[in-house]
Amino acid sequence: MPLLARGIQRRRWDRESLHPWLERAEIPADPLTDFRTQNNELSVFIVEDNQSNLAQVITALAATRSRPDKYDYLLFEEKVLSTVNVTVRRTHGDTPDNAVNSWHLDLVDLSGSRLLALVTEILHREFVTGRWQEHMVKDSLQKGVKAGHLDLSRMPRSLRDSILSP
Amino acid sequence: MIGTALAEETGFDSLASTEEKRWQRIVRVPPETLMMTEAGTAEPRWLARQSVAEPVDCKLALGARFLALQWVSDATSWEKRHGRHLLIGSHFTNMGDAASRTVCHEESVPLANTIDQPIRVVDVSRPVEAAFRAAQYETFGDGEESEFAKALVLLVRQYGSSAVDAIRKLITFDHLDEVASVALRTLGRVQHPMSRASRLRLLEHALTHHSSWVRDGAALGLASLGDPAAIGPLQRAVAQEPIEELRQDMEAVEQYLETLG
Repeated sequence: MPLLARGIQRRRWDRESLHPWLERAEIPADPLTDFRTQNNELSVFIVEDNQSNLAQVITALAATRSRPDKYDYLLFEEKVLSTVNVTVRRTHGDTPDNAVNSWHLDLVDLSGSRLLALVTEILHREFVTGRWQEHMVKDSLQKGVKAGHLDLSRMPRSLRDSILSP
Repeated sequence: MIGTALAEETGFDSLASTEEKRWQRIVRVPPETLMMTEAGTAEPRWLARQSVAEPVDCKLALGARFLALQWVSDATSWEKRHGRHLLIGSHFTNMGDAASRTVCHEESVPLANTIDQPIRVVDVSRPVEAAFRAAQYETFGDGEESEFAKALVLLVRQYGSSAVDAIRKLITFDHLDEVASVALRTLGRVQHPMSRASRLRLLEHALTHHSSWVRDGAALGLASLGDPAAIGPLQRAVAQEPIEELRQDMEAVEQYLETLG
């Protein structure tokens, strides 16, 4: 079963920091911030269950930013989507890596209650968060450019300048 | 002598006998300082009475209840020995905490720069506080330069350790964890060698903050600063860190710094 990846702020998802004031089955509000929709849609990327393409996905997502920075990500099981009746549309992603773009999904027709149900389901199931430190991101971006995965012309100029500098 | 006048006004009668101990620092006071002091409060009126056409070098005395200035005749030689430069702020609210509130900027600077460099007299805590206030309404994203971060970079480059100190106070007492975290990450990235030591100290100190966001920001700031001197404090922070994911992130920073060492 494949996984879905999305960029987050890892501290919002720390299990130990879950608040004692939460009622049973409730979730904290902060993780919802990482599921900010546009046109009631949410962008995610498919990651193999052995995470073999995770590095390429993270690198491509980091290549859309203005400068190299740490990258926090969330991985959750794709089957969560059917549990909460989220409609999925396969669309082309908008990163400088065409292969990664082909692994893109839009979660569409998201109502507020459905979005809440989705985040609640993720938080109550198994999920994984991780972080790439800034130096790892920069290194991976440089390698991605060198290997030809990343299209330099589709990267923000400030990022391009930063990763091409010694 | 100004110092004598002040001693009379404040009742600090031991000034003369302890002059060698008390007159510890040297300052170059531009005329604006005196004018702005006058516009502040009536308390340090003795300063407002003084009027100089050109910047003057003064000795600065920091007592428990007062701040005093005295003209220095041989400022240049004193300055050469100490290589220290202090600015006097305009924010005189009362004499009780004058020492902490009026000395708003302290910086070691190359001696060549101390003689003719124009000095701006600013209470640096005000622009820092303003930046933190504005940051409450900003949305932060990794890999994007926020207006808040840009403001902090400028303040640190302009005011050095004094800005770092003002940031430290806000991070210690402020409850906006994400803003504090961004501030710490920014401090790690600023290119400003003169304030590097104070930034390192603040980042190390923040590793033990009660907020996981602040601890995280401190670790990320230390990664950006890239100073292996932080390995020890990081190891101690890792040993105490209750949140597993944050512990992993701190360990990653520690390992990265080890590769630099």
